[in-house]
Amino acid sequence: MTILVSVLLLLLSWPRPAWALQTHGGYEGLYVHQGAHLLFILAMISFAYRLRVTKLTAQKSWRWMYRGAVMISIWNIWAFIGHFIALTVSGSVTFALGNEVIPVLRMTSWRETAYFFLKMDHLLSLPAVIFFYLGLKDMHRTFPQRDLFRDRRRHERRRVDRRLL
Amino acid sequence: MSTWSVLPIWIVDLVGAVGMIVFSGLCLLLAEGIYRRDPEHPLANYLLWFSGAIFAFSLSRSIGHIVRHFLQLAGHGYQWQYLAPISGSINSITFVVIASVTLFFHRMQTIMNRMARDRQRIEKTSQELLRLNRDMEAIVSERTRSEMALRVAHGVRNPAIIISGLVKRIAKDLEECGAGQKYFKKVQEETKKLESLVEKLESVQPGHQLHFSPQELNGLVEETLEIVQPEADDKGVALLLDRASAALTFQGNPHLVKMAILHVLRNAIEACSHGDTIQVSTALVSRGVIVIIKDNGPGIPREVLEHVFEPFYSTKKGETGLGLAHVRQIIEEHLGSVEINSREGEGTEVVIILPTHLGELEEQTGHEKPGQSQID
Repeated sequence: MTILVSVLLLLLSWPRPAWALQTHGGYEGLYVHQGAHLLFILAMISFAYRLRVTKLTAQKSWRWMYRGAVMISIWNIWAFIGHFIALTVSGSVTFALGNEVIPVLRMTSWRETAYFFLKMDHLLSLPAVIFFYLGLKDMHRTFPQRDLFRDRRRHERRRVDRRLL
Repeated sequence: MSTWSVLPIWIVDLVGAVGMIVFSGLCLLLAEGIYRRDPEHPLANYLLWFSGAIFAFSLSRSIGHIVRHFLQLAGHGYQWQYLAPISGSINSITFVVIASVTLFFHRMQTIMNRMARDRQRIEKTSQELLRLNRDMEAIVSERTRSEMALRVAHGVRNPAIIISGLVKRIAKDLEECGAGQKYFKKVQEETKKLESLVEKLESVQPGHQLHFSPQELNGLVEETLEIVQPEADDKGVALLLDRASAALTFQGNPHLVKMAILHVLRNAIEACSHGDTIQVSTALVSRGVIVIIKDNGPGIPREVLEHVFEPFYSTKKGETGLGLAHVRQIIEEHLGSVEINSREGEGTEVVIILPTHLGELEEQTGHEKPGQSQID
């Protein structure tokens, strides 16, 4: 026991960096944000796919939700690329001319052109939210409709079976 | 080298940011309205979460963008570097929340579909029960009326016969003296009326045909199997149907026959263990239409088998023991027969025969007693 305590005290006499707490600096924030974009894309594509496969898109409300999901997926891809392009564009390409309040963008390569258009991502995200709004508006009108959420595939199969009988 | 004004970017960004806040706010209001209508509805809950996440995303993102533009216009653009990490982090969090809520959609839909199917099944069963109850009530009321009529007839018959006899004798005596004949003829007429009324009351029989109509046995068996299928699935018992290719038509009450078959099937499922099989077959035989329910369960002990059709006899604690007695009663109402063959350790076979036309089986089998149980 005495030996064990002596060894521990000896080790504590020569401290070294423990690296117990990892810091989160540099590009980590960007990676997290891009990862979140990828997760967002995955969720929206699976949502749209599910709506289509289960034939819920036959209903007006879910058709709008489907369009919203597709549009927001495209927006995500748009924004994902935009973040990477923004990294390659130097901060000095945007500058003010004279006393002008609104700055200008110096077009030196295709990156600046891409950056210019990719920055206008609201052209995609706003329609996506409007589509969700239209879908919810229709649901608000019809709710609680009995089979608003029903997987139509089973229903259709049964109908076919009955016809065959 | 050319320069492009960033004004289009600013306009799209500002208008888009405001539009996002407005429309996502409207989405949240609509979802909240849907939720208020039925707070327990899973879809309403899902939509509220989804819209809430979209609103949080739009708000955090748009406020960031609007603040940035105002700071730049006010000449404090450098301050954005302090706010950008906060805005970006909130944005990332909202992405994850939206993704989590949306990925749950599939599970949500599965739950909803399951609930819808269960609700349909419950509704169907309730309707069946309601119809059955109505038919039972009609049969009971008809039987009560018949029994009361018979009781009245039985009570009135003897005094009516005695009165009739006495009146005839008095009439004979009065013929000789000639007085009061007119009145006695009237008394005689009324007595005859009384006698014919007694005859009418006695002729009243329970009207089987009243609630019976042409039925198809295969269809009834299939519908009954559909009802017990979930119970068999839960227990891991296989239900097999070997149905006759031809239509098996008979006269009867569909609800009562289904109830009888249902009870036999439930007994079989209860007796069977995981991996056992219940074979249901239908056919047309010389005595009528037949349904055989055969299982490879543990079978019924000899001492129990002798009493299975007796009312109030049950080996299960807390049960009335009226189940198979009811089955026999229902089949007897249809002038049919029910037999149970069982060997301990090998399984049980229940044979139900229903005549194709009422009265047919009774004529063919003579004095054969329905509801007989056999031991192999």
